Amino acid sequence: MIYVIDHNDSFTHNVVHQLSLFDNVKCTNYDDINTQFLKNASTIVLSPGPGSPKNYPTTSEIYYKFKGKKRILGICLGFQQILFCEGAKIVQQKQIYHGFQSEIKVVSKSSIFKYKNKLMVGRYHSLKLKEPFYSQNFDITMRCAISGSAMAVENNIDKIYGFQFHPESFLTINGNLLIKKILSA
Amino acid sequence: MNTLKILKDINSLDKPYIIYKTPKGFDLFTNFSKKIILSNKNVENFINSIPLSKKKLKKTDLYIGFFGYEILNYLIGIKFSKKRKNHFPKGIFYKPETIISLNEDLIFTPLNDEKKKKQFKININKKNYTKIFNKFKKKIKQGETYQIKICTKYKNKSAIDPLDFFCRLSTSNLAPEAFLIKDKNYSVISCSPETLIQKKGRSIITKPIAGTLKKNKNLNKKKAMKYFKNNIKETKEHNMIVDMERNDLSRICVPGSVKIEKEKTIEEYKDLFHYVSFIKGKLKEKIGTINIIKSMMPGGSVIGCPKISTLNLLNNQEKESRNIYTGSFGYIKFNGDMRFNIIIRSILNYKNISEISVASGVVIDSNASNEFNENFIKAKALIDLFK
Repeated sequence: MIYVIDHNDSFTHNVVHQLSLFDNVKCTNYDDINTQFLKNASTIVLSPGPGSPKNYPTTSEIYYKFKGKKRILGICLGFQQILFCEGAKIVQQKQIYHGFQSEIKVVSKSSIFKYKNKLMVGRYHSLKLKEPFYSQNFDITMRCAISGSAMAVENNIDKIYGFQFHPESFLTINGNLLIKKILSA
Repeated sequence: MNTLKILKDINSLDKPYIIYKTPKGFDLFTNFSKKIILSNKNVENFINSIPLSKKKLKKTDLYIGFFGYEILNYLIGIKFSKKRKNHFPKGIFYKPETIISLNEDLIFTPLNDEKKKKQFKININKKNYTKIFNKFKKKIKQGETYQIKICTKYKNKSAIDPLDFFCRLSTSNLAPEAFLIKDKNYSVISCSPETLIQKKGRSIITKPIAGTLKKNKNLNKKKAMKYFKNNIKETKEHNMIVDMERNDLSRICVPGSVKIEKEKTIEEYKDLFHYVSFIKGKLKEKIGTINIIKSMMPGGSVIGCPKISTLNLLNNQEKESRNIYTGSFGYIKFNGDMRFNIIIRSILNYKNISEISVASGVVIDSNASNEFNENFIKAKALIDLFK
């Protein structure tokens, strides 16, 4: 079972639908965390959402509690939440991407995705990872083809994954395959 | 009976009635046997009381009316921080006993033409608009909203003949979701182009509009398409709305059934082109009318995105009640089928005060002056009816 924590977003149910293609999915709001779902889930998904990771302390607590114990996937805000919990700074970016289709690249040989592969993805973010960023076992595996901003993070030891872009957006080509790969990793 | 005679008769009777655009013409609903005025207290009960009959329906087995913006916020648990002035009902539905089909050419000559050329007053001037605009732009940079629609309101004191207004508006601006409500102490005239919900059986369709282009001699449909395709700002705004509407449908539809039927097409109207997408889904089995309304309303394209945080930002900012504006008008049949629009391009006349609300979107690359002017262009077609 996959448990999605909804940070009051207007894209979360696209994520839920996408995940439902592969497994049974439960979703509740951030204000209404279900401990039974947390306990039973094999994967916890941190949804996109408005604002920044510091606005969601409960999600950080959940992350620390289940890191290494369950697979964790973060999307957009969820991606930033993972990095924030790993000590990163999340900052405003000069150019803002909302509803933007852009090309990104797989930049790491250790990625579960094919090295040097290019993908077209949908982006909705005001904030980004401040680099340099280092945390043990974490690897930035995808970057924007133009700006070089971090677009994916992987920790294949603890099975923690994050996408800055939206795999569930209609702007992302083959988003289902990305999700499938993570759920079978 | 011809349309002209029907309209003349109905208008002289001083009876409430509603006219709603159909694909071929208009339907006229009248002889109301029930009128339900909605409040926060009774709205859920009202919706849940609508029969879900499987028997064959009579044409009049339906409620027709509107949900105002404030009651739709209430239904999804959004609160207003300040007590707003709100004298107008939050929603009204009628049970018609008569429905008459009318053809598309609505012609009506009012008996006494008493249009009063009272000046309209705007509730937010350009300076204040720019202030709000910059504040919201900051919120976009902080990631609290991705797109937000600032509403401005034009008001004047005027006694109007709503049928006359509606006929003239339908002649100049025939819109697929146009409607008129005439009741004793209020009327609503709208040339809304936007379908929010079309539900038949378990099939549901929404048709968000994001992107409007004013016509001129040099523009045709093909060129309008090219304009939208090459305009990154319009494209991004539209993309956002498409993903948001997919999301709202996904709440209530079978996984995998939500599909973009037509992506980014151009619809042509008398004065403008719209950039429109069609999204459809198949409803889950146990989804009731109330779930559909809570998932889809208020319609995202007139609010911004993401819905909840954006509504909260708007409601902290706006001092006046939006009333009907960005609410939904339509009908619910006694088998659960329904059709609803988004109430925009409308005049609410209540106790001889006319109000016209308009909104345009703030995204990261929009400009305060352009958006303020766009608001005025949107209002102008309606303000011109008072001439």
